Amino acid sequence: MSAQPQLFLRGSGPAAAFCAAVLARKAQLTGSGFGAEIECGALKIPLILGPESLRVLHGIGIDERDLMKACRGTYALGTIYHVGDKPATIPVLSGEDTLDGIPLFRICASEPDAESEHGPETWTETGIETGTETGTPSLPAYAALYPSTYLAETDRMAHPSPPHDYQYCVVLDPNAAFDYFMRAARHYGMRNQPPIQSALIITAFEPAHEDIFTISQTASAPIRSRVVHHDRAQACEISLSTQVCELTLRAAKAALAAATPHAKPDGETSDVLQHIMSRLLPFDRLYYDALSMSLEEFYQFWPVGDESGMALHTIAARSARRADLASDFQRLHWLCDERAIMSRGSDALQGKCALFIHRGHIPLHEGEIVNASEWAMRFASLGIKPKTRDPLAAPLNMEEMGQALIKRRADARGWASQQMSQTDYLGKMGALIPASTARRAQ
Amino acid sequence: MSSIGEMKLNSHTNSTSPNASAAAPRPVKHIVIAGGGTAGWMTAAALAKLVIPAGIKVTLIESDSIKTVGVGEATLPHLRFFNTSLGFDEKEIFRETEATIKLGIEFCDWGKIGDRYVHPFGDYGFDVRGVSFHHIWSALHRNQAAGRIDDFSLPVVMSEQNRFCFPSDDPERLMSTFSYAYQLDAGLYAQYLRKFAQRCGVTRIEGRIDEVKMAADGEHIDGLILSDGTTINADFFVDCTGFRALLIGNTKGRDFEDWTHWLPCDRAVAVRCEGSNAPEPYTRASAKDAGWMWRIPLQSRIGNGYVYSSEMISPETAERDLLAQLEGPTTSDPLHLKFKTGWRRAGWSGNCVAVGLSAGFLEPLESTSIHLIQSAITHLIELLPLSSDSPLEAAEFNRLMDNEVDKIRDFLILHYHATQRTDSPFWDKMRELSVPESLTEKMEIFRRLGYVQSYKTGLFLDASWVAVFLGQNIIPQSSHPAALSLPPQKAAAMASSLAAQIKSTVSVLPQHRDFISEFTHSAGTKAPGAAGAAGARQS
Repeated sequence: MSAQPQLFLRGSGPAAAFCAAVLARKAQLTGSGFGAEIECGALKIPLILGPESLRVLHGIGIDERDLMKACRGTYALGTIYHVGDKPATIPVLSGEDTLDGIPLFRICASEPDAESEHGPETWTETGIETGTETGTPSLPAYAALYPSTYLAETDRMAHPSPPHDYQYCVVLDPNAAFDYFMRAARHYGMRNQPPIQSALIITAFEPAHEDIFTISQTASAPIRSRVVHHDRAQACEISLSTQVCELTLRAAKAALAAATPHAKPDGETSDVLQHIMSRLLPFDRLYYDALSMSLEEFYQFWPVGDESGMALHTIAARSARRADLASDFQRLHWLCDERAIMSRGSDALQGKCALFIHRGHIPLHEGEIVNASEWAMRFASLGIKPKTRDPLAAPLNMEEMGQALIKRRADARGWASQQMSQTDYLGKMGALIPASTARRAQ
Repeated sequence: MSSIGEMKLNSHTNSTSPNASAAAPRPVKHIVIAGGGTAGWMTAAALAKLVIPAGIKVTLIESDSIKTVGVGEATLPHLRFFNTSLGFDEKEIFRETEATIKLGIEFCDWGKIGDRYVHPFGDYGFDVRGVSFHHIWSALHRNQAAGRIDDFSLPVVMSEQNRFCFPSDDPERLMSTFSYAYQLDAGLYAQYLRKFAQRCGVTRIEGRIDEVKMAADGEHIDGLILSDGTTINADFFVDCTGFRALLIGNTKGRDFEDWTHWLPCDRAVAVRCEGSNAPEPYTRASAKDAGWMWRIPLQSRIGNGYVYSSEMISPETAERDLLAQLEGPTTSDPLHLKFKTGWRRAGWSGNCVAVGLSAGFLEPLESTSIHLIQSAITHLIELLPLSSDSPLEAAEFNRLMDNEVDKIRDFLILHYHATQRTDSPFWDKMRELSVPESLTEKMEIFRRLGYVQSYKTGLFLDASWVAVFLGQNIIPQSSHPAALSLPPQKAAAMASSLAAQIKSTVSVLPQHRDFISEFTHSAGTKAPGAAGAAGARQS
């Protein structure tokens, strides 16, 4: 039987329920009593949980198949960004692949217009650089080297297995996820009792995002996340097995919101999660991944008695740094060209953009969630490309390198094409919602 | 310190300034390394392997008449990756450099006189309920039921029993819980690198640098004038001239952040003596009245030294004290060195980058000198300048190095500051020291809660901090509640079983000396017996 709540969570929305489930289990491990008071909030936006979130859920004993089934989930292996007529798929990657010790993105990212001229469906190659001799094999676009790109584009799904190393997200129905995480929290001992007087109270209220985006449901569509850029606004399409939700991001207000100065962590007990919720937007995996990493840190620095302030200060500082860095990635939805980034981006973002354009290098900082490969692909999707290729790539034999990459692309595509559709995959794992249930749910 | 973002904006602003036109940027086609020694030849070897194939000429200038310091006989595990990336054969390294294995550093008399602990290249125990083992240990320790933390570290027990075998690749095995480095003759290592670099196309020029010829802007270097009057021009320069910092000292990178108030040792005396037949697989650092002494056992000799504060004792006293500690006849004359601890925040300035002692010096205490050389080379290659004017690359390089050095600095200060010694003015001063805020916070949170403020980018990770905290008697007042919620008897039984498992795993490993002998003479890449000694890890 759990003790009286010494740790108490007040919040709203599925993110607060997610936090409650994780904290309840962690509190159980520490022998602390845990309570929560969580309102439903606006249950409109599907949850996108990335690799960090899934790792944390796995760590507290939540089974992925069960989660998918209960929350009408689908898989998302990446995001397709449409900037004008130029779609670009960015898979969720686990690390940096190299060729002869040089990161692949530094070899491929400077490829002029490999993606933009032909689109990802064709993956037609263009020449390596001006002056490429006729007959020299050209380099494939970077994203084309990963099977998850093909899986995403063709609505197929397979869990990664060697040698195919990639990561994935799950997209969950907000109503179902709220119920599921609240049930999990209760299962792990969360109590509805009020906290004891000396309890540590954490707040996790999901901000209302109406001034930043609107949400509408669209007809059934392929299962993948898609972001479409329409001049000054963007539509972010997120699909579930039962519905497709379209978030229209309002350009001006959102840009303004995201451009507010970085809040400084003040060590207030209530701010350790709230900072992420107010700084990041829940339209991609970064929101829940950042929350998950902070929850894990909360466990590692579990605040105890009189020393809570010291631990919370550490957690808050780290959460704030992580949120700021992740927010730079999200802000690329609005700062979508070099000029905007260099005039309105944070110092860290300007630094990334400047060095990437200069030589294809991405400077990373402590607390980054997004790795260099994804940054490079995202810049490339905005038409921002390095002016020069890595000088160390110069001595590589272009013909051999081209052939190696083309083979890798063929292997990736070949393997991906043998995988089953996401619908079949979900059905096979018993996580697909029958059509009749889906209709009722809608 | 300006960020790259600011740098980008500034570089637009400056593009019309008179200075900018004074030194027209040119593509980097020729790199000159000024100075040999460990830093110079490590840089040359790496550039030879990775940069010469890209069509860039590499020249190294050194003078046989200038003695090198030969820093860092004891190394860190990272050096193995450097060697591997250059394609070096590990057996050859053992044979050519007198190398022995290093599993960590034994610290004697640092907390109190009579104290002893090992900072191992490996973990303590295993995570329980998602929290580090040291939380379990400290909970047991408060109940007088813990034993030594050393007993829960495989490399510490291996060190104590003078045994070694390569780590296992299988993460499920206990033998996968450590890493290793080398104790080697830095001079021989530099010679090995020199042969490799010259074979790969590095041009060596014998000569003494008399003058650094600056460009009209006063920020870039045009060339180096040697004592015979020859001028060596290049597009980019690497300053490996040691403490003299001949090149970087002429640029905007000349500013040196002095850290002697935190790390006050400023002299060292080094001497070699004959070794025993059973060299230990660890380096020893023994705290003394005015500093500390090192002992590094190689295959046939021992490297010894006394690092001290000149405010406290004279060079003569230091030499006398050092010689009195030797275990065998000397095989070299004592070599006296002067240094100042600190760092150049702009180690890359204009078209010059400082690598090694010219960039700064911390302390040989944790064998970081060679590591910082390696780190600078790695970042230099990652950011290989495209032209002689590379402000973006310079800013990023300096950011990365600062980030690394600041953390190392804090870690080193911890050794001095976390002392309870009251037997000499030196230790009184160190105990009362006002340390950087970043370190105060780290110490305080560990002292009160047992939490380690970890980071992902940096040299010394959690286990290293835990080793020094606990080794120097900073025992947490509390443990993670997940550790406290374990029934004490269960925790004690678990700990005791782990210690027994470690002991039995180590007992069947070969003796260190036999291992080296067998490995260097065997045909395969791994020593016989490596697989059989890998006990299963507890879950």
